[in-house]
This record gives sequence, structure tokens and C-alpha cells, in this order.
Amino acid sequence: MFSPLSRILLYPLIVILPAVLVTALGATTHGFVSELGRNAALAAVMIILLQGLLAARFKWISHPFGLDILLRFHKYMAMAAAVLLLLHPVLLAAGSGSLDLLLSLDQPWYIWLGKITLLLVLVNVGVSWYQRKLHLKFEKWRFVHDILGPVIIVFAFIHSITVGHDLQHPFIQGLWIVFFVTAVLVFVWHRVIRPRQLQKNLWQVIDVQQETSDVWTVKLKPPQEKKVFEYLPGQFQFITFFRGRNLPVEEHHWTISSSPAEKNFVTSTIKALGDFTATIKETRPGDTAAVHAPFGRFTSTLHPEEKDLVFLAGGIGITPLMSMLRHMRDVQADHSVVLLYGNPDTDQAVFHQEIKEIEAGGHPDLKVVDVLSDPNENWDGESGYIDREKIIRHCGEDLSGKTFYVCGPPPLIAAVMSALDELAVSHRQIRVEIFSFLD
Amino acid sequence: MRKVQLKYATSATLCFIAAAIIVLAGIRAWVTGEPHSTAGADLFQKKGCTQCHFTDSRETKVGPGLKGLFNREKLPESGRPVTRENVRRQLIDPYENMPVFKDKLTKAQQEAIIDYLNTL
Repeated sequence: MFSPLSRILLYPLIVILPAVLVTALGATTHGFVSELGRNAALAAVMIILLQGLLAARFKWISHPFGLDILLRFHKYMAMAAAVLLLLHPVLLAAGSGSLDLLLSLDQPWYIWLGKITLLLVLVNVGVSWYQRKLHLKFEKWRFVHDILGPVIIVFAFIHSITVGHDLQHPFIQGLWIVFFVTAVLVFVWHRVIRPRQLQKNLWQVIDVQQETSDVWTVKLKPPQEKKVFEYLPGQFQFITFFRGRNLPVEEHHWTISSSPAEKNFVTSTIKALGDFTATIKETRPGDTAAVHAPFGRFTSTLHPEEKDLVFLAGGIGITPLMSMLRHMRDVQADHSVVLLYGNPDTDQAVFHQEIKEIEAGGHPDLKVVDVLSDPNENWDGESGYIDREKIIRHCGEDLSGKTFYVCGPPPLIAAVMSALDELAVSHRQIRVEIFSFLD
Repeated sequence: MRKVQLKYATSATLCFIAAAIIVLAGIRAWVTGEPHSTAGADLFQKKGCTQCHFTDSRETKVGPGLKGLFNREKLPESGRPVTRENVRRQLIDPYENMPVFKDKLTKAQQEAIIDYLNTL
């Protein structure tokens, strides 16, 4: 039911539905500018009420696009809602020919509530958009987001239903209430009910393997008598570890690094990059975890017709590509893969030995090129960073027909995208995974 | 690349929403051919305001005529500055002899009537 395209079209249609109904059911008519101001608010509040649906990991919604893409759409639409809400009082004031609405302090409570809602929206969008520049840690950002989100929904609803005489028509008012209640229920489901359900089926940590000086692989076994969920190589999972010992309990998402051919466990390979991941080495067999998965569409298995692949990875960005390589090995795939793998030195190259073994095994037809930025004196391979020349040297001049999978830290992605652009590689030939939903 | 597709999809979505709210505002403002606030005008009639106020003149009926109210500097009886807030105050806590509409009008209805008065 509903093709991906129709799901895309459904979204803007729902956003403008209240404005259509207000027009059709003959509510107030003022000047054009005032009506534009009202429509801006109607659309903005609808965007806000739908934000939860985009972010709540409903697979019917996220599957055709990938949750990572959907969350970025959620972020862009939040910015759109903020702009529309900023325009709302300006247009109303312009339409009325008076600046009272903007400047007067002598306003009823429900007008002030609208202004406070606008302020909260701007704060919420600002901290999400500039989380890195503000040096706001993910878990703190998420706490702020989880508080502001529902408060904005409630305030926006109260303001609109109180002051919006265009919403007084019983049908429109009923629909408005339905959307509001749905938004509240989605939030409660996503942040309260589902986490509790996941905690009733806890997975067990069965192994923690150190890969390099700051990277560990955590192996998880499903609850008793259950198999590992079906997933595609390259997808990711949300994990909440329950480890006791005063270690933090936070939900984070990590790529699945194991092969889907393995039905008894999944692994995630985690680099100590922040406060939480710095504690990953404290994880012990016997600890438990709530797992919500799988998500994402960064996988070659969705494109079986593409056999000539180039993997461009930097550091921990190897994890989704490793899952794909392991899966190709396990199913004896006949793909041809060139892996350019950037690291400071081979000691910090995660899975280095296993990748060499896959290369020697013949499935896939794998050529591994280590690119080291800080090699020792005896290194005679590629040094520096993955760039245009190295891509040509190892993949050839003719890049048509090849598909590029790119994963790594933001500077690597920027450099590689620039190189591929210079080489006239079509965007259709490039698939990029970015770890952070906020980038 | 999915991020490029996302940008196209987002741009298309935003263009559609922007076009829709502009067109719908245009329909409401012009195509319906009703320059007034119909809800506010209806309320003004139903709540009996027309028994005391002209809307097409400044002449006094029982209370002052309200034509061009928002183009004046001061409200006719109280002499307060003509602002939405002062008109609202006149409805819910009137100066002198006008009936109190605090419990007879919801806040949204008050706004509708003020919108209507703004069009006179």
C-alpha cells in the first residue's frame, strides 16, 4: 500500500490540508497578506505535529528512504517550520497595518504563548542545527530535544486552537485535535512505551573484542529462543546497554559489522569517540542490551545488478563496508570490489587481518589498497589521503559502470566527494553513509 | 546519491507547500470576492452589535459608528489608543455603557470581531 513516491507526495498534502479546509469551508477572509500569515502558521504547526512521525522509526515510513535520510528530512522541515512561524506574526502585523502584534507588550496570554512557542522552536532548531559548533554533547542535545519537542507541540496547539478563529469550524477543529492527539501518542510511543517493550526482550553481550587501541567489537546474542532479526549488510542498530557498575545507560546507534549470514549473533564495532563510547571497553560478557533494528539503506544488496564496486573508507567508517564484505564472503558473491582504506597506520586499521583474508579468499574479487597518512619508514604502499590520483591509479580512468560506497569521518567524505566530482562521477554512482544524524 | 535525492525531495516539498499557501491565501483574499472577515461579520451581526453600531459610518446609533475605526488615533468613547488590545479590552471590560462580552465571546471569536473591525 502506497508506493514510495506516493508516500513522499502524501507528506506535503497533509501539511497543507488544514489550509485547504479553511479555504474550502469558508472561514474568515482578510487581506492577502494576513491570509498568507495564517496559512504560514497552519502549515508550520502541521509540520511540527508530523515531526514525531518522521522521527519515531516507523518502518512503514522509513523503509523506502532509510531512517538516516528521513531524520535529515525531519531536520530540514524543522527549519522550514521555524521560517514559516517567524513569518506568521510579521505577515499578520503587515496585513493589519499595525505593528502592535510585534512590538506591544500589552498582549493577552495566548498571544504570549504563541511568541514563547516561536522562541522554543528557534531554540530547538538552533541547538539541533548547530549542535557541533555549540559543543553540545549528543545525549544533552537529545535531552533538550525530548523536552522541547512535546512542549512546543502542546503550546502550539493551545495557541492555535485558542486564537485561530479559522479553526473554529467543527470539522477543522476536530481534525486539528486528531492531529494533535496523534502527535502526542507518537511521542509517548516512541520515547516511553517502545523503550519499555524493548527492555522486556534484552539481548546479552557474549563477547567484547579489542580491535585496535581505541576500537572494540561487541557481540550480542538475541533473547532466548529468538533468532537475530533479518537485516541487510551495512544497516545499523540502536543499542541501549545495561551494564550496571555506574556505567551510563544511553541509547546510541551503531553500524552492524557482522554478516547477515550469521544467524546467532550481531556485532557492532565501536570507536571511543565521545564520553559514552569511551566506556565501551568497560562492557563485559553477561551485560544486557535493548536492541532496536535494523535501519538504513547503505547496502549493496539493494542493488544486486551492480557488481563493480569501489569502497572508500576512512577509519571506523569501514564497519558497514566490512559487513558487506563479510556477507559477500559468506554467500560467495561474484562482485568485484576495490577497497581504498584510509588510516594513520596499519595498527589502527580495524579488521586489517580479516580483510586481507577475504582478499585472499577470492569472494568477492577484492583488491585492498591501504592508504596511510602516518606510515612507518618501511611502508612502500600508498601514503597520504584518498584522493583523485589514487582513485584513478587503482580503479582506472574509466569509472563508468562502477558504484562508489563512501564512509568515514566528515573530512574524508568531503575530500572524496570533491575528487569524485572532479572525475565526473555521477551522483547516481555514489552512496555515502554519514554516522551522525545531525550532520 | 541519496543525499542529493533528499535535497531535491526537500526542495520540491518546500516549493509545493509555499506555492499552496500562497495560492490558498490568494483564493481566500480575492477569488471568494469577500473582502471582509465573514466570521467576524457574522458574529458582529449575531451578537447584536449592529443594534448599537453602524459599520458604514461614524455616526452614532446607540454607540459610536465604527467605520474606519483602525484608521483613527483614539477609540471613540474611552479615548484610548486604537490597538487590537484596547478593542479587545472594550469587548471584555467595556468603558461606560456597552454590554460585557467577556463570557459571550470565546477568545477566537473576539479575535474574529477585531479582525472584522480592522476591515471597516
